[in-house]
Amino acid sequence: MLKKLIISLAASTLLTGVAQAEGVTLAAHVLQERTVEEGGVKRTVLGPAGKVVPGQEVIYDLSFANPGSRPAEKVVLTNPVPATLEYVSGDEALVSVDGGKNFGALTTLKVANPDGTQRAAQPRDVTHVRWNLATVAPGASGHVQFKARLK
Amino acid sequence: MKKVMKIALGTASALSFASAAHAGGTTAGTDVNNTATIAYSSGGVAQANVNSNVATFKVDEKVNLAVAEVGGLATPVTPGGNNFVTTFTVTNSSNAPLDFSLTAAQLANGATVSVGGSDNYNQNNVRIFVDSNNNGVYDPGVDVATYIDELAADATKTVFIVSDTPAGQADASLAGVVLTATAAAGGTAGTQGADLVQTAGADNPAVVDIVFADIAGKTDAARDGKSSADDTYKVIAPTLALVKSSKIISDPFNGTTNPKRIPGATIEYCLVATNTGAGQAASTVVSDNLTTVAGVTYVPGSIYTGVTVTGGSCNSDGTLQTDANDGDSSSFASNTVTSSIGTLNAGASSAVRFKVIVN
Repeated sequence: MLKKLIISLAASTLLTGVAQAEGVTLAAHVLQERTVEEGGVKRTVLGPAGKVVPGQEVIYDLSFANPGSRPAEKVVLTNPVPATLEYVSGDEALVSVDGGKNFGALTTLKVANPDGTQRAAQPRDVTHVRWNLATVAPGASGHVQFKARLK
Repeated sequence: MKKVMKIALGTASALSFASAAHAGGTTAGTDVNNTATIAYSSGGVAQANVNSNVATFKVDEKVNLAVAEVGGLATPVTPGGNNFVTTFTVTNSSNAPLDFSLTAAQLANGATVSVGGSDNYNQNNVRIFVDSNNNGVYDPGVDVATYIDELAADATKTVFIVSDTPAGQADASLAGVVLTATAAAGGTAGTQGADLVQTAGADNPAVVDIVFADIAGKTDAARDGKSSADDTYKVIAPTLALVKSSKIISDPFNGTTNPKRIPGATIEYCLVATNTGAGQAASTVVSDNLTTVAGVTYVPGSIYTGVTVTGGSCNSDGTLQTDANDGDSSSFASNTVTSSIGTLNAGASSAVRFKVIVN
């Protein structure tokens, strides 16, 4: 028992002493759907966002990894939606419509009307997107995506 | 669900619910930055949050504009008159302030004009002026700019086409005019920017690329950086018709009972002037040179003006005029009857009668 405790303490010292040496990594990429034609066949491909003008959609790809030797637990990935974008949809994400205080499925959330009555929250009301990834095992990685439209 | 974890809010955006953009969209050149954050534990101990890199892109320029005609009606013009105005608006629905260059063109003969009907003449001396004081009215000498300078996103400017009408142009003639606005580079007030060119090929992340998003206008295509609309000038002019008829009054043998048109008979001429146009005729003068009517001699003192007409025939009324060139409206000189009937309104008629003897 004691041995285990010592190991744990040592491990936690390691983690706080050395900045992120074995910490989880997170990369964000902004992508656009494009139609390319090859040999007369049209395909939709996802590539780095290029000419983006108001009204067009971009896709954010968030990829995470645990390069360390210990599991990362209670992993919560949160992405605040930039002010000039309007949330459209996300892979099984929870969302907040109140600035990040409360999260839930979009269909369960409500927003106050100017006159005080409530209405169902719409994608455009989303301020934050969140994924509860639970445990990410050592060496594991993954990615989630969400779509937003430039205002 | 009770949240035990500390929630990391990330560094990227302000918690702004109001849209920072407008109908034209997020301003071109804006950098849109996105950062995500992971919060987690290890071995039961909360770890420092991990932020992603900043995923960023620059908003490119979406060029959209609309030219529209104002009022829905033709501008009435008078032949030989100057500086008649047709009014348009130019709206910048891009996501950046732009200049707009302006050109005017006239519709071809036979083309359908904006108010319906066929174009059948051209106005002269066509000019373009921007409404500098935004009062919707062309102020000569004040509205002098010929291009739109630094029009903000979602803003509208009024533009006038000003032109002159050829003398003698017939009543109800129609001239169609087209105003075309072309998106031009903004950025320097007081200087006209070059017409924009759409960015070809792949995106250049370092600069603001240009995308044309306009629809086709009256005479321009979709996605050409232009918009156009047409308006109409309509001539309002008098059209005068003069109908001359005669009736036999008497002859030396039958008197006024079934008289015949024999030498010595008295004939009364009836001249009916009608304005069939839409415009008022001013200073209308009717004249009849009897030298062109072989074989008759004017009966002195027989001119009546203001005669009423029934069934195309002059009635025996009206005001007697003197033959002398005096203060009344009529005279007889050089074998010519001349009568000023003054102003003849659209649709109105005025008749003059006088007598002659058959030679």
